Amino acid sequence: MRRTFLSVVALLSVIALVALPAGAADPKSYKIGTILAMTGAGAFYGKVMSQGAQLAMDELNAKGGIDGVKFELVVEDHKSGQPKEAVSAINKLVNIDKVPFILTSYSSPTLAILPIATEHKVLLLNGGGVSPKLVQPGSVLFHNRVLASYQALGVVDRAKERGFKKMAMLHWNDDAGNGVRDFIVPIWKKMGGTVVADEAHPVGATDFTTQVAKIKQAQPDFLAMWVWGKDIGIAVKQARDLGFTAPIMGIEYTPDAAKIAGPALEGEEYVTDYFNPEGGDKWTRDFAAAYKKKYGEDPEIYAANYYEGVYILAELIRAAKKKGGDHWNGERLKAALQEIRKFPSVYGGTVDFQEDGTSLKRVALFEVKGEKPTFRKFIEIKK
Amino acid sequence: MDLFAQLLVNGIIAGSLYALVACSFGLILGTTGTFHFAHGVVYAAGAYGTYFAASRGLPLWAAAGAGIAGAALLGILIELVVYRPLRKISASPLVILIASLGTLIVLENAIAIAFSTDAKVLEGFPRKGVIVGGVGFTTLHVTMVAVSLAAFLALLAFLHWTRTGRAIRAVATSPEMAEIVGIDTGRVFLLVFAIGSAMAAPAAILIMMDRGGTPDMGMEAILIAAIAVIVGGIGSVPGAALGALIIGLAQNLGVMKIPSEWQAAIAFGVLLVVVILRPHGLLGKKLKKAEI
Amino acid sequence: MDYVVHVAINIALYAILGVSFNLLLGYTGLFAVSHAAFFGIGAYASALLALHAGLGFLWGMALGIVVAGLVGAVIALPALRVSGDYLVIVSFGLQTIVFSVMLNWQDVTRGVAGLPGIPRPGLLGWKVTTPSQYLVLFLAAAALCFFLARRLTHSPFGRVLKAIREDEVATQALGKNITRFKVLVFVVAGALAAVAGNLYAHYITFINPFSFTLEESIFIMAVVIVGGAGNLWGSLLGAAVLVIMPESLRFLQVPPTVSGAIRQLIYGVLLVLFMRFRPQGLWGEHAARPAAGPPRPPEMKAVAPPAKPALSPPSERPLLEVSDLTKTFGGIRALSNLSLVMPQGTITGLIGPNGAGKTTAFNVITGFLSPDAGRVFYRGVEITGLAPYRVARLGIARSFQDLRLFQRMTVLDNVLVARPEQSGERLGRALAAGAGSRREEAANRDAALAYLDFVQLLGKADEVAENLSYAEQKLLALARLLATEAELLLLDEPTSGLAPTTVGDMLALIRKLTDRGKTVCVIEHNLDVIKGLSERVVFLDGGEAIATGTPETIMADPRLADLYFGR
Repeated sequence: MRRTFLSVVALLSVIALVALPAGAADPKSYKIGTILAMTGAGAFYGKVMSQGAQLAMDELNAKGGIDGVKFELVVEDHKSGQPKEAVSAINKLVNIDKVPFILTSYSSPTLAILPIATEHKVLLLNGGGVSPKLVQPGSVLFHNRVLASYQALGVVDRAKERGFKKMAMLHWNDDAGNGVRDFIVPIWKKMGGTVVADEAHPVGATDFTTQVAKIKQAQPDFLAMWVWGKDIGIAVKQARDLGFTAPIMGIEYTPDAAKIAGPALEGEEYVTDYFNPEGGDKWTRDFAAAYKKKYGEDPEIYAANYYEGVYILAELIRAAKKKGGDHWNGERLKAALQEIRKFPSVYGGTVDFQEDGTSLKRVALFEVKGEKPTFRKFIEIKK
Repeated sequence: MDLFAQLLVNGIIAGSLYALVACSFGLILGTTGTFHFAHGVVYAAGAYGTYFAASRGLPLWAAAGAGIAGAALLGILIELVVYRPLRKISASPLVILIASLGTLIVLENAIAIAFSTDAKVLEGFPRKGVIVGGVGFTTLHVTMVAVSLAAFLALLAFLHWTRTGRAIRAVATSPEMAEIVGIDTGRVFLLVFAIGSAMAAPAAILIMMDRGGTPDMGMEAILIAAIAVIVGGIGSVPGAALGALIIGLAQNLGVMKIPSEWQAAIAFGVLLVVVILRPHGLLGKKLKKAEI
Repeated sequence: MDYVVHVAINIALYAILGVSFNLLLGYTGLFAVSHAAFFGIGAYASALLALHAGLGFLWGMALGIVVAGLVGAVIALPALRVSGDYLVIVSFGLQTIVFSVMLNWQDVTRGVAGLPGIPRPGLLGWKVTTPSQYLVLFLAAAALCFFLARRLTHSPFGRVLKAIREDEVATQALGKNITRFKVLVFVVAGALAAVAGNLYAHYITFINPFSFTLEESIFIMAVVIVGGAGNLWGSLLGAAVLVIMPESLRFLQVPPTVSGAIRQLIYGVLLVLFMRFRPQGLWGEHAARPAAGPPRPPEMKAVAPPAKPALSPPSERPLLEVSDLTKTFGGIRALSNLSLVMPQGTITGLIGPNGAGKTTAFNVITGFLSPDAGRVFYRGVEITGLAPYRVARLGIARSFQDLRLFQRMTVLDNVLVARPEQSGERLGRALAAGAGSRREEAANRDAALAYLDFVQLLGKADEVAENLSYAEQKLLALARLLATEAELLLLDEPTSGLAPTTVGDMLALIRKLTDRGKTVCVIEHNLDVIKGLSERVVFLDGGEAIATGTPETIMADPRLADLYFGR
C-alpha cells in the first residue's frame, strides 16, 4: 500500500512539475488563441495555418506591435476535428490564457466551441472550415474564407461556358460536401444540366478506385469535385490511372494535393479564393516571399487566411483602442469588426464582412498548367 | 460488365496489398502469440525509411532495400525492448497489447516530428497507365500484385521447405515442445519479427509511390490485417492471404450494391459473418469446444 | 476556476466509463474493445431524443440505456462465441460498425456534421448551466455508477464474473451458465457507458462520430489498466491520471507545429513505461483488501457439515449409467462402446493405461464433450449431450487433472462460488441486495468455511489461491467440489503429485464422503490408492471397459497387468 502511495505521489509530482503554467497571463501582450489541427490526418493544415499566423505576428512585432504592446500566439490542438479536444482547448484558452480572440478551424470543433465562446464573449475568426452550418448570423463567429457554395456556383457557370451538360460529382461525405451538393444540384438542373453520378467518400480516404469506377461508367462530360485537401490529389491521380479522361473541376487547390497528383492534375480547373502570388498585389507577393523565406515552402490560401486574420485583429485593436477604455476584450473587438466591415486582404483588394458573418473576397478561376496554378480570370459570384 | 471488371481488378489490387501486411502480421501472431499492434508503424517506417534514403540520393531500388532493412531492424528492436521484458515477467496479453499500442503511438509521432505530417510521395517509379478491355490500371498496380504474390510464395516455400522455416512452424505449434527438441525459441522469435517486418514494408513503400504516405498510414493497415487473419484463421499464412483477398474483393465489389460511403464497414461486416458461421476462420485449426 | 472544473468533469466522465469497462475487462476478463460504441450510442440516443422530441435529460438517459443495453445483448451473443484474441477483433468490428452507422446514417445522425445545439440538462425544474452545476451532476452520476458497480462486484454475481475470468471451464463445471453472466455484464457495462454518453452530449452540447472512435475505446481500456483491472477504486484513479496527464502536457513550451505530436509521444512513452514497470496498475486487484492476517477463528459452533436432507435409500438402480459410449477424435477412437455403472453410495475406481479414455469418459459424462454414439443416464434420466452447467446442476461434480482453481481469487471465494442456487447470482438481486440476500450469503459463508475446515484449510481462507502449495491446492479443489453439494463426485487423479502422508490424508477425506451418502468415482494411477479406496474397479483400455470387479480380482489378473504396463 505504501509503495502504491509513493508511486502515485511520484507520478503526480512529475505531472505538477510539468504542469506549471508557462507564465501567468500577461496583460502587457496581445495574446491570441488558435485551435488548429496540429496532429492527426489534417496536421498539414494546422502547420500552415499556425505558420501564417506566426509570420503576421512576427512582422507586427518587428514594428513594435501596437504602441509597443506585442503579440503572442498560443496554439492548441483539436486533433484534426475532435469536438472534445476543442472544448478542452477553449476552456484552457479562455480561463488560463484569458484570450478574447481565437482563430479557429474545421467545422465540427468550431461548432463545439461556439457556445463557450458566446458565453465568455470571445471573438472567433474562421479561415478554414467550410460547412454551411458555420454560418451563424449574429454570433461571435466570423469567417474570412469564401463559402464553398459560392465557389461551386463559379464552377457550374464555367461548366456551362465550356458547353458541358452531364455532370458527375465526387464529394466529401459530410456536411460540407453534402451541403455543397445539395445547394448546387438544383441550380445546375435549372441551368439545363444533368447529374449522371453522385459519389461520396469519407473525409481523408485514400482509396477512391470504387468511386472512380462508377463515375467512369456514367460517362459524364466533366467531374465536379466538392473535395478539399490532399484527398483531391489522390482522387484525381486514381481517376487518371483508371483511364478516366473527362475534364475535372473543383473548388480547392493545395500544394500537398498537387504533390501527390503530379502530372495527373494537369488541365484541372478550379474556382477558389483569389490567392495568386504570381500576379496580384504587392502585399500578396511580399507575403509569399516572406513566407517562403521563413518556412522554405510556398504559402497557399490557408496560410494566407490566418496571416490575414492576425492583420484584421490588429486593425480591430487599433480601432477599439481609439475609442478608449478597456479595448482588449471580445465585445469591443466584435463591435469594431461590425463597424469597419471592410479590411485590406492579403489576396489583394478587400475582405468584406457581411451581416451573417461570412465575407466576400475576390474569387477566381484557375487552371493547373505545367503543374502550377495559373490564373485565368476573376469570377463574379451572382448570389 | 465494364464496371464489374474494373471493380474486380481494383479488388485484386487492394487484396494483394492487404495480403502482405496480413500474412506478416499473422506470422508474428501465430508464432510468438503477440498481438503486435505496432506492426502498423513498422510498416509505415519501411516507407519513410525508403523516402529518407531516396532523399539522400540513393536510387529508388536501393532506397527501397534500405527501407525494408530498416523495418526489419525496427521490428527486432521492438521485440527486444518491449515484448521480451514483458514476457519475462509473465505479463498478461492485455498488458502486452497496451504496450504495443503505446509503442505505436510513440513511433508514429516520432515520424511525424521528424518528417512532418503532410503526405510524402515517393517519386521515380516508371508508372504508365494501361487500359485493357475497358479496365484501367497502372504498371505500379501490376507491380503491387506481382510483389505480393512473389512474397507470399517465397514465404510459403521458406516455411515448408527449409529447416529454419520448419523450426518456425514448430515454435508456432508449440513453443514448449520446440524448446524440448532443442530449438532456440528466442532466436526464432527475432527471426519472425524480422521477416514479418520486412514483408510488410514493401506494401507501405508501394502505397507511398501510388498515393502518398502519412505517419498514421499504419493504423488502417493493421486493422485490416488483423481482420484478414481472423477471417482466414489464426495460424494459417495462406488463410491470411485468402482473408486479405476476400476483404479487398468485398470492399470493391460490394459498392455495386452498397453506397460507397459504407465501404469501411464492409471489412468488419465480413468479419462478423465469418465469426458467427465459422469462428476459427476459413483455414484455421478447429477450436475444441472446451480444452480439457 | 472553470478550467479546473472542466478537468474535474472530464475525470468524472472517464470514471464512469472506466468503472463500467472494468466490470467487463477487469472482473470478467472479457477483452472487448468496443466500449466507446456504447458511449456513443448513449450520446446519440439522448441527443436525438432531446433534439427531435424535445424530451428531457432523464428521458434521454433512459432511452440511451435501453438502446445500449439492447445492442449489448444482441452483440454479446455472437461476440461471445469467440474469446481471447478473437474477441478483441470482433469487438473492434462492432466498434467500427457502430462508428460507420453514426457516420453514414446521415438522415438521422447527420454524419460528420454531427448534432449541434443539444439543450442543457434540466432535472426536475433545475436547469444546469454553469460549469460548477455540471460538475455536481457529473459527480452525482459517477457516484451512483460506482455504487452500483461496487454492489455488483461484491455480490455472488460478481464472484461468478471473477471465476469466469479465471477459468471458464471450471466455472461451468460448478453449474454456472456462463453465457448468461457474460451477456448480462455486457448489458450492464454498456448501459453505464450510455449514461456517460448522455451526460457527455448534454455537456459539450455537440456530438459527432469522432468522439466515439476506436481510439476512444483504447483510451478507456488504458484508464482501467493503468488504474488497476479488477479494482474499481483503481478506475477512479486511472481516470484522474489519464485525464490530467495530457492536460498538463498542454503547458509544455514547445514549437507549435510539433507540440501536438510531442504530447502524444510523451503519452505513448508513459503508457509503455507503465506497462513495463507497473502492469498491475496503480492499485492492483487485492490492494484494497487488508493483508491476510492470522487465521480467522471459526465462527460457527460445530464443524459439522451442513445437514442435507437424507438421500433416498440406495435403490436398485445405479446412480449413473453409461451405455455404449463412442467418441472419435480425428482418427483416434477415444471411447469405444464404453459401458459402465456407478452404484449409489459406492466408490468406483477407474484405471487403465495412458490414453485409455478415462478423462474422456468424465468429459462426456459431464457434458464437456458430446459422444458420437451412446447414452448417459443419471438417476434413470438421460443426460447425454446436456450442457456442462446443466449436468452440474443435476448433481454431478467433477475435478480436473490440472485443478483449474480460480488462481487470483481467495481460497474462501473459490469455495463460495461453488455454492449452488445463490439468489445473489441473479442480476436484480445482486444490485438490490436486501436482508434476505445477506442472510443467504452468511449461510453460504458458514458452509464454505465448514468445508474448508473439513479439508483442514480453514486457516488459509483469506489467502489467494495461487499462493498455496500444491498439496493445499488439491485440497482446495476438493473442498470446492464438495461445496456444490453434488451427489456424484468424479475425481480425476486426486492424489497425483502428492507426498505419501498427504495421500493418506486425502484418502481419509474421500472415504468420509461415502459416509455422507455421496457416490464417488476416482481416476487413479496409484494402485495402492485404488486398493485402499474403492470397493469396485473398472479397467479401461482402448476406450472400452475391459473388466470390472473388486480391486483384488482386477489387480491379480496377469492379462490386465500386461495391458496396464504396456507389455
